[in-house]
Amino acid sequence: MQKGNAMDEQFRRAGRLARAETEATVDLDAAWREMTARIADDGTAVATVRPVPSVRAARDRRWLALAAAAAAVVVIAGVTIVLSGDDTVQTTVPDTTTPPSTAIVPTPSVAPSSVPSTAAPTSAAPPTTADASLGAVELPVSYLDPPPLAKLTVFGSDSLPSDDIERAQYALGDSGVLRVIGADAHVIGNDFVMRDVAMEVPLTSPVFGSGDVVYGLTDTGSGIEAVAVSLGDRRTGEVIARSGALGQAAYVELPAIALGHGPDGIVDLARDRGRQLLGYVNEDGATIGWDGSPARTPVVEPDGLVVAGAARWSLDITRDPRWPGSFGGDNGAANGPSGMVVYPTTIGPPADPVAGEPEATMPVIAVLDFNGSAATRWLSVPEGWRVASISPWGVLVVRPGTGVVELGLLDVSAPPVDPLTAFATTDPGVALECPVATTDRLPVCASLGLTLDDVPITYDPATGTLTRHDPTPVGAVTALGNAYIEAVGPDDVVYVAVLPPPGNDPVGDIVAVSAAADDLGRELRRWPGAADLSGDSDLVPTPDGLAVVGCCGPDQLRPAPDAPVAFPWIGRDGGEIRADIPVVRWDLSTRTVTVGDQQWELDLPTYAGERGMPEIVPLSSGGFVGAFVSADGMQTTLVMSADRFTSAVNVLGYPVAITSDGQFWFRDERTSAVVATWPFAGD
Amino acid sequence: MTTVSTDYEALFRDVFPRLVSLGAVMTGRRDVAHELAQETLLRAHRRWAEVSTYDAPAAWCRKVMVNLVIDHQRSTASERRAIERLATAPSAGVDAPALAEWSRLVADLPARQREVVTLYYADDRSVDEIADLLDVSAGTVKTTLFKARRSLARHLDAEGERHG
Repeated sequence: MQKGNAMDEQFRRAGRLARAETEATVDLDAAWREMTARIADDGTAVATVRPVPSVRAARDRRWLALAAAAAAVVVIAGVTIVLSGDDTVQTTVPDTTTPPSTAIVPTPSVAPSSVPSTAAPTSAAPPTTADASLGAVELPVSYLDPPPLAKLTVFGSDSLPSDDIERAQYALGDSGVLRVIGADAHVIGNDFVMRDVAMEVPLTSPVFGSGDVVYGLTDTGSGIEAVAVSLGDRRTGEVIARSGALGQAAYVELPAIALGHGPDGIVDLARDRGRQLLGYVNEDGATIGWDGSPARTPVVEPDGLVVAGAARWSLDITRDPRWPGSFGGDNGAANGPSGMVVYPTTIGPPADPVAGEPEATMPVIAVLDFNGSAATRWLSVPEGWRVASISPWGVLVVRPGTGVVELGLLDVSAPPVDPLTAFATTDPGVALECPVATTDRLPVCASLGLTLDDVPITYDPATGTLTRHDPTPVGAVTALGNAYIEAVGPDDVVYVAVLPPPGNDPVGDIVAVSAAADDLGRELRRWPGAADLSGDSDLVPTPDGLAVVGCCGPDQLRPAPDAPVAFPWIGRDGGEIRADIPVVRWDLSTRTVTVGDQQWELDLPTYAGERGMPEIVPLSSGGFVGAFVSADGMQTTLVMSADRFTSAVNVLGYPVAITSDGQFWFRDERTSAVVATWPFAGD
Repeated sequence: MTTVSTDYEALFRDVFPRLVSLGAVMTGRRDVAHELAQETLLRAHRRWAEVSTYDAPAAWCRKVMVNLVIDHQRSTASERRAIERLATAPSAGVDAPALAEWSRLVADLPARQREVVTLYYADDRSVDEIADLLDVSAGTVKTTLFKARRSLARHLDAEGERHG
């Protein structure tokens, strides 16, 4: 990471956002009419269109809204990946490799990557703050200011034929995940033991649990009714409880969250809201009481008021004007984990405006806590994912792909994704001070680099101290002056860029300095005046040294195969050496990342084109972390492992380092301490 | 009846929004940027026989636009005209938060540094391209950019201290 990178990115992002916002306000047709009128007045041509009135139309807030929405939509860009281990590029899907040894392996199968957390629910808390309030708790959300991202844990992928993907419905229970397609149920246990159940009737809007029972709706031929189907051993697949006819028309098309868990049984959340359809039964059909059942049934009223017992929340939702609506109607608010009510919806424009039934973008959830206060909030669902099931065991989200559906859980209790607070897991014990110099009152910040073994090396220009943190800090005072760490190469040699005195041209020295414990700070080689400090070029590590990548064309492949190695790697004996690191390349024209002999072709629909080299850090696992900026300045950071896509997230702030195992290190501006984080759940 | 060339209309529709946004980040004013972009493309039309033969007429327009913006900084004529056309003075920042934020970030820079920084960050131009646009040497651009970045770093640091 180069010093100044964070500032550069901040300004680049601000500039792009300002331009995107402005371009969205341009009424091109009106501008063209104005121009033809001017041309006519100018006498250089006779326009065919009459001039517009001299006062321009008031700016249309809708266009501003579209710009902001566009910015938000790319918070998590849709990403498709093509992998290649050799010359052949293949379409791949998330990992569906070896199932656990205990798994019965049916087709389709599920590949877990970690066990979902479906701890037994606790009963809803007794009414407190929100319940006690006569007035509703106001909870606004707007596509102009999308809420922070919910923490997502991807725990598995469900492979099934593409034709079945649209028909598949999922439900989260206490014993695992259930997939229903017609009368075929597929149970994915919490232990990832899987089994298929042929049900007596086809089922829709499934609600799973408690226990080995699935509830849902079925069309009997004479009407829709709610049924319970046993998934237990003795009566597996049998209908064990019925509601009687509910009426045909109202239940033909339903939203994803149509039924849910109530205090005494399964409740209608979408049509006859709040009505209990079936009491809870065990797998043999006997009525049961359930200690963990929710205390109340939430009901969404037409004006956006959510009522659950005495608790009331007023959802003030401002959607994009192009929001296409929901074909099945509004979702219900359902009893979710930790006694909270969860209401999913969307607020963005359609992903594909010309689609027959366009799906809206910008999925969000309202998390409504009976205890009020901090936990009650809106959260964004990562783009491309949709809420499939809400139950006391969690919020299940799915992301359909080609021949596969990824499964994940939203943690509605966790803080929004903020790398400085949500994911801090370790303290590397490194601080990067940033004092203001007494001479010119400019900040003089310490910088950080990681050796190939991830040992942090820092340089403090205020004292000239180079410090190795392994983990005990050992420092050596140098005469490098105002400088920063540009890179760390093999043999624990650090490459330092020395800044010129104020008033001089922006060229500096590059100095190779030993960062080894036994001769820390020893200068090995110096390239006087060789560093372009204007920011117009990047230095990119290659096996031979640091290669130069210019900011702008014409090279589409970066670094170009013939890019000069400006600074070869130096060993501590002063000789030139090679580094055992993979070649990293970015092909701007095809959006292809190459790390060693692996390639990933990325679909980044709003990618802006990058100045110089995007940040691509190879991981020891064979994958990489890459940060890509979209046209409106938002940054999408991807983590790819060697064989599958792992995660994408909008990382807040700019890391000062990324370790070879994917940790992000941020500098906490408040304390100057470096915080190590894992911003990618499920990796 | 003479009609406006379809090629010219295609150019107009392609570059006008970008010229407006470039002018807006350079001036902080969308109304002024609109006016200057109109003026730029009117000039393109006057010289269309020649401009249409260029390999990159859009680049020609960008250069004219930058020159007009720089001229505008020295003269308020365009602004007066824009205000007359709009009848009311614009309210910068009220409905353009991103533009207001950008303008705030670069507000303390001298004019030339602001031009260079804007072309560099908001228009993604290289040092050489900026040098060509501003008719100065690449070394001058580098030095200007270097000084501007130091000032911006100091500005951000001061902001951080205020908020921290």
